Amino acid sequence: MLGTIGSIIALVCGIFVLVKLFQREGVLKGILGLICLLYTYIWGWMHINDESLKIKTWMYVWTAAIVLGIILNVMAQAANQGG
Amino acid sequence: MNTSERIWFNPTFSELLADRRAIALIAGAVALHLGMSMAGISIWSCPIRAVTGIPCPGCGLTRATIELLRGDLTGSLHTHAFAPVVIAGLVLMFVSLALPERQRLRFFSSVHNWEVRYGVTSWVLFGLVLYWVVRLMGWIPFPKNF
Repeated sequence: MLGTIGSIIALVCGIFVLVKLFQREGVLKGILGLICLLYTYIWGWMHINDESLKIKTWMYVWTAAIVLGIILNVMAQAANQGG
Repeated sequence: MNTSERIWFNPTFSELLADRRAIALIAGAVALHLGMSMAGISIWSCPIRAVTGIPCPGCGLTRATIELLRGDLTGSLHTHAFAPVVIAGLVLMFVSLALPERQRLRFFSSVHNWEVRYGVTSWVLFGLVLYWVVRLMGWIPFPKNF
């Protein structure tokens, strides 16, 4: 349940930053960002201080959702190994 | 050249190569992701697939790349046919990072010319989207354990 909520938050943040990527960098980099959201994420961090983009809060929330996802993944894997 | 032609032949990958910080971050993150996945720890999962259940165009690329790195070409192509492109891209990034500044600029300019002349990146991205649509339609099925 928590994992699904984290994924939804990550998706919403990802789409917001992706829209900004499309607007700023054009169609090709936008498609690249759609295919590889990791690129969108890194692009977002590289432009986090660009005030015209207004992505700072979105990037923090996206990062929190990713960290949450990693913790849940590791916990799930540990639980599986523990039987 | 009209607008659509300009977009098609826009340098995209070489622009990334020109930015050493971006390349270091992207190549580092991808290498970390691949390494952790090989160790059985997933640090990045596709939010599109997690929420909608529909795989995005890049879904399966991590597994396919790992299979290719382990020498399983058939399995890799079956999981995602674009894994060799990912490895080629990674190699270009690491070469670009390793080269001294002068050679790096020459390298960047060769990749840039290739993109502008042949629209390589556009073809690859278009092919990837087409491949994704074909898979979603079931003409090339996803592997059973996908």
